[in-house]
Amino acid sequence: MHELSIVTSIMEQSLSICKENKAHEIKEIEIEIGSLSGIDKSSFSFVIESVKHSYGLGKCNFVMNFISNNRVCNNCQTSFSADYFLGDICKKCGSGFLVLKGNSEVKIKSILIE
Amino acid sequence: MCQNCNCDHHSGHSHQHFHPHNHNHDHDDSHHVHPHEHPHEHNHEEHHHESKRIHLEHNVLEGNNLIAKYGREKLQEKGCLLINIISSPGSGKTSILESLIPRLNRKAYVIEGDQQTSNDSERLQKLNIESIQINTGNGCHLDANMIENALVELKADNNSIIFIENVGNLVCPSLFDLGENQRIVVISVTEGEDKPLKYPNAFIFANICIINKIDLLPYLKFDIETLIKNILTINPNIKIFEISALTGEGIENVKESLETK
Repeated sequence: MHELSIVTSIMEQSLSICKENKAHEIKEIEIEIGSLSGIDKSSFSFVIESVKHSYGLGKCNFVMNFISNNRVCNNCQTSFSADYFLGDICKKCGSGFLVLKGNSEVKIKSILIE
Repeated sequence: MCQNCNCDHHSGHSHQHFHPHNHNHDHDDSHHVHPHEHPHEHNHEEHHHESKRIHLEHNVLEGNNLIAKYGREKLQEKGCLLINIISSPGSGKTSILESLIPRLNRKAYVIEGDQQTSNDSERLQKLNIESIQINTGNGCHLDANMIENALVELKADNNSIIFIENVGNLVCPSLFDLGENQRIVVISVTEGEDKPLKYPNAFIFANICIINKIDLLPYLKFDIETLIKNILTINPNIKIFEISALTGEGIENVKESLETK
C-alpha cells in the first residue's frame, strides 16, 4: 500500500517546512495528485485519517486535487483532458487513437501555517 | 499588538474583559493590592498567530527521484545497465532471469524484491547468478534507497547488467523510479488479454513488454493479438517480445535487445 509511504512523506515534509518557518501549527496541506501516480483516492483519504493524529496533524485540513489525464489525438494532435484512460474518441476529428499523456507526480502544492 | 508574544493583533485574538482570578495573590505584597475582579488581557483558547500560505510545488517523491538519478549517473559512468522488471506475482519473472542470464555475454546480477523469503534469490544462486534478496516486509514495492543500499553491497563489475526483480504487483512498483535505464513489464498468457487496460500504469512507463508462457497458448482460450492491441493502446512506443521462459522460445530476441542498450 504505497499510499501509506506517500502520506507519511507528505506529513514529514510539511512538518519540516513548518519548523523551518518557525510556525507552530499547520492549518492546511494542499496536495495535487496526478492521474498516473497510482494513488487510489479512497485509500489515500483513509491513510490520512489513520495517521494524521500520530503526526500531530489532527486539526489540519487536507485538500486533495486529483488531476485528470491529458490525452493527445495521434491523428490531429489535439490535446484534451479525460477522466478515463480509454474509451474516448477525439473531440475534434473523431479518431479513436488517443495517446495518454498523464501526470505521475504527487505534489505538496502549498501549506497554510500559523 | 499581542502582549504575550508581540505578534500582530488579529480578530479573534486576545481581548479585554472582566473575570475572576483563580489563583492566589500575596496580599501582603504592597505592590500587588487590587480587587479580585479586574480587566486584563488573556487568550480564551490557543494563542492565534498570523496564517501564512507557503507555495511549494514540492514533488513528494523528490527524495526518491534524487537518489534514483544519482544511482543512474553512477552506473552509467561504470557502463552498467540497470533494468527494473515489474509484473503480477507468478508471471514468470524469476524463470525469465533463469533462462536469460546464462545466455548473456555480459556479467549479470539480480536484486530480488519480495515481501518474504529468499526463495527467488536461492533459485538464481543455484545457477551461479550473483543476487541479493530484499525483503520488504509489509511493503508493496522497492524504492530507490533500497536499491542504492543493494548496489553498495553488490559491488557490480563495470559494463555489467543488473536486473531488479521488483515485488510482484502491477500498481505500486510502477510509481517509483529506481534509477533504471530500462523498465520491463512482464505479462503471462494465463492472466487475461485486458490486463494492460486494467493496470495501465505498469505499461505506460515501461520500455519493454515481455509476454511469457506462450508455450501454454495451445491449451488456453487466449487471444494474443487482442493482448498486443491493448498493450499498444496504452503505450504505442513499447517494444513487445513473445517468449517462453520454460522452453527458451523468443528469449534470444530479448537478449539481443538488452545487449545492444
